[in-house]
Amino acid sequence: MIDTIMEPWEFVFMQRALLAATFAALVCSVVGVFVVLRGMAFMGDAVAHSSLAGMSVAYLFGGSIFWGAFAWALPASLAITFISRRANLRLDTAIGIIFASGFAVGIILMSQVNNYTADLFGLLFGNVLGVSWGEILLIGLVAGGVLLVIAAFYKELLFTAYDATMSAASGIPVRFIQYLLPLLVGVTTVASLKAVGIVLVLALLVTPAATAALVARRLPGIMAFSVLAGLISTVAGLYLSFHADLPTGPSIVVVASGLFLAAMIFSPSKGVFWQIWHPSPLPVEDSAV
Amino acid sequence: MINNLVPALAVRNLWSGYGGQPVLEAVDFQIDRGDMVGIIGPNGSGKSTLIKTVLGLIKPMRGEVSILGNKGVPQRELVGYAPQTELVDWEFPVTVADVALMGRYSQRGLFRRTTKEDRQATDAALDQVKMFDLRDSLIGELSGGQRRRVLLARAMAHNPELLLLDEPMAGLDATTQHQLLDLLDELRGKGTTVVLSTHDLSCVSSRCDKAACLNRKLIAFGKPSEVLNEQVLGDTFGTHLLMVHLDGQAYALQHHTHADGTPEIDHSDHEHD
Repeated sequence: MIDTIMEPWEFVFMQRALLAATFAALVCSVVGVFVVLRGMAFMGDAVAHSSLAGMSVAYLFGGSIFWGAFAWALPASLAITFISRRANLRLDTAIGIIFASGFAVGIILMSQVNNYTADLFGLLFGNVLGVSWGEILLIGLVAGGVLLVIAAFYKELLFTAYDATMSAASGIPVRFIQYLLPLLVGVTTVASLKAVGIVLVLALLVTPAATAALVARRLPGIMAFSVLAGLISTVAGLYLSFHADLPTGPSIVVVASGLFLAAMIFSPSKGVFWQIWHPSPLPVEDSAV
Repeated sequence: MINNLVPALAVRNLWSGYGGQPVLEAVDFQIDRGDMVGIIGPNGSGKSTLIKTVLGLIKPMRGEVSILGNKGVPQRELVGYAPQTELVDWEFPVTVADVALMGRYSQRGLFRRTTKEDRQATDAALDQVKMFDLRDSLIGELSGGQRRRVLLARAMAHNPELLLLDEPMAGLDATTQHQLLDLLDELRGKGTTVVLSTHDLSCVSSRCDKAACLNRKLIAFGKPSEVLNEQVLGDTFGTHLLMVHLDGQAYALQHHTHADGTPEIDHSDHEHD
């Protein structure tokens, strides 16, 4: 039993993987709460997919894949907001354009590499076991930066997400916040690419937050539970991956999904069991207030 | 400090709208301190545009707005605002107290945490709207009347001189409407000026000091008993109106086109940001 618990951490590559995945899960869980509340899930997905272009360029020229993704993600997330605001397109349309265009460019560039499937596989599905100390430092810095910005603008992010009109009337720089949040989502996905890859970033972003929304009532509680779910998924996913010899990113996502399923079934007040035993009464309008 | 003779709100030759298209044309009126004023008009008549312009959310194309003699820049400390409930996300995971506390955010700059003073002011506002006991409830658990009062508490939390309420009566039954109006009466008694937009003519005629009849232009402004006549209401509501005469007073019933009986919501102004 002790062996099962301790054995993975005797390997330095597992220690590095744990650190990288923990940073990613931490920042994803916090940002994910806003993503779930604002219905921005596919914005994060689009930024991740379109970053393939930046990663491919970096890969072809032997640069850092992390910075390649980063350099692409910033303009991509701003472009989504800009296109949807200026061109009067719906947000999901703007997302679709950015999603596909960057991904297509990335595939074309990668196809110029001989035997490109193996490398492409790493970019798409993550390769956290191969993460370097330098990359961990970068992931940690980015995650820390995002969390600091959220702490600084917490009340503005909360108010704008809840009621943009009233926020503007209160003098909160709503337009700035409306660009800031997608930017944070974009940067967060980049920090998580190494851990779970382009295709599965979305899961790390929304699943812990959605799980928490089933368990806690208020925003601070939802954030705390989201972080908890993210961290449990990371650690348990790494164990699962190590002992069952499974790919790491998908293992983390599978555990996160399992937690969500459990919350879905057993959550007090919102779970399936509760609703079977306590059917919600029809809403009553109280006139005697 | 504030001269009683200075109008709470003065709107001078105001032209305002979206994307270069005026919705309001040459609107001109002034509201005395401590009055309760009802703005009435059909959908698309510019009620929300007027409120948003006073709030400083829309820049006037021409003319000016002054609040207690202060022109130009948004007067955030002086004004409290409650939007239409339809524009608020009621599924958002915040409590009654959280929402009311947002009314204090304009008093605190970026990066600043809210203070004990903020929480005390918030509690006082919740107490005033009789929502203190529900302060820890999630907003999604509230009834229609309670939702209205939370938004009112938020608008009041920084003790504004002027309250702007967009459609506060919409969707409420008569009893709840009158409870809300009693509450607004109380505020008015303390010197707060209340401006509300509504479709409900009877509320305006029975409870407001002044009525502003708006249909892109200001059709009439004055005491309800003097301005709410057949001529003015006909000009304000146009043809979508059924006139009812009762006790020598002309009442207008708006013609609703929704077959399913859903209440009319003034969406017209909100397509634009």
